[in-house]
This record gives sequence, C-alpha cells and structure tokens, in this order.
Amino acid sequence: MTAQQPSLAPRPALVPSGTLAMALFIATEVMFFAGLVSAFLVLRAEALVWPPTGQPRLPVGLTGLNTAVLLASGWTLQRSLVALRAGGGPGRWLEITAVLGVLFLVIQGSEWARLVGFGLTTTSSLYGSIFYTLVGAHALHVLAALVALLVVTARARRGRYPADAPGGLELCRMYWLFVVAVWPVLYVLVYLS
Amino acid sequence: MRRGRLALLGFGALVLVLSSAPDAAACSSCFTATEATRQAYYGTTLLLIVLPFALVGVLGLWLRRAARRGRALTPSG
Repeated sequence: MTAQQPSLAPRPALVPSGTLAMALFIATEVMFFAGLVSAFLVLRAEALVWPPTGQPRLPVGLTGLNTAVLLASGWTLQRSLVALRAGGGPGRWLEITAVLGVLFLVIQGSEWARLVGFGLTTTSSLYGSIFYTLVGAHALHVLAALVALLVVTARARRGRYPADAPGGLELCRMYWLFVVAVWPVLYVLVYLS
Repeated sequence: MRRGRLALLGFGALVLVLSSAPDAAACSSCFTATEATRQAYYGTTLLLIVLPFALVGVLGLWLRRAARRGRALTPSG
C-alpha cells in the first residue's frame, strides 16, 4: 500500500501571464493619469479665474463628438473579440476600430492647431501647459494603442489568433479599453468643469 | 552591550547627518492661497494615497475570482 503521491504536474495559471502583465501595466498607467489629474486640479484651484482671461475657450461640442468616436471604437473592438470567439474571425471590426482611432487623433490634432492659432500654447500660460500635458499624454497613449492595434490587425488577418486563444488581441483590447475609459474623465474635467 | 553601542553610534551618526542638512523651505504655493487650494491639495493627496490600494484590491479580487472559477472547472479526483 503506497501513500498517495502529490501530483507533479504544473498547476494551471490563474490567468495568462500576458494578461496579468497587462493588468499591472494598466495599474501603473492609472497612477500616471491620477498624478496628472491631481496636478490639473491643484492648478485649477489656485487660479482665481479658470480658464484664465485672455485664453481661448476649448471646443466643447467638437470634442464631445470626438468622445463619441472614441467610445464607439471601444465597442467595435469588443465586437471583434466577440466575433473571433464565436469562431468567425474578427471580421472587419478591427479595421473599423483603427479608422475610428485615427479619426479621433485627426480631430484632436485639428483642434490643437486651431487652439495654437488662437494663442493657446504650452508656454502661453499654466492653463495651456497643463492642457497640452494632460490631453497630449492621452493622445500619445491613443497613438501607442493604435500602433498595437495595427500590428494585431495584421496578425489577425494571417490567422494568428484562434478562437480559443485570442492572446495578443485580448491584450490589445484591454489596453484600448483603458485608453477609451480614461478619455471621458479627462473630457469632463478639462472641457466641461 | 556591543549592539547597544552600535545602535548609539548609528543614532549619533543620524543626528549628525540631519543637523548638517540645510533648512527645508516649504513649497511656496502650499497653504498660502485660498480654501479651494487647500481642499485641492487634501483631495488629490487622498486620491493618490487611496488609489494604489484600490488597484491592488481590484487586482486581488480579480485573481481570487479566477482561482474560484478554476476550482469550479477542475474535476475533483
């Protein structure tokens, strides 16, 4: 009679390593944006008038539309993963997401060009400085997410992501949804309040 | 006895280092402005203190949920 030996088979991971790494990375990004938002709130509290007199007002309507574009891109990326898991491949959802991401950056860029034309620059005031830092940091994140999305799209077209192991597409979705989720917070803080 | 001397020596060294440091001037904008500024400092300090704990908590709950789901899916044998 032998005692029951403990199994030497490796225990399955709770979550895939890549997913855990992305979650930790997103946590650091949350702290990064929290720091920027804190700086913005303190600077705004110190100002007697906000936005300062003589500085252009921000285009609330156009940016609201842009917010809808970014939110829609989150939905389309989610659809791509649902379609992939259903076994039919990601369809055209990835390309639609990329187009919406580019559209967001183009509208953002044109808005900045107009604001610079009206005299709002990084050196014109603290208002300009914190505006471009906060919104610019987010735009850089969208750009990085877009590059990742284009890589994932190219790989998906080559059939690299099976329905039961979306891998890179899942990680890209996590990061993209984080970038999408941060924007409404910034929009309300910077543009509406 | 020897440990006590070492601790005393360490404490003396710490006092020496701290006493040789120049005076630390307070942040020029802290607590000199309005009530709104003070509230913003307190609020954002609280946010930056609480947020890391909240993130670690969420991460822990997520992993715990994954572990429970894994146990539920694994056939007991």
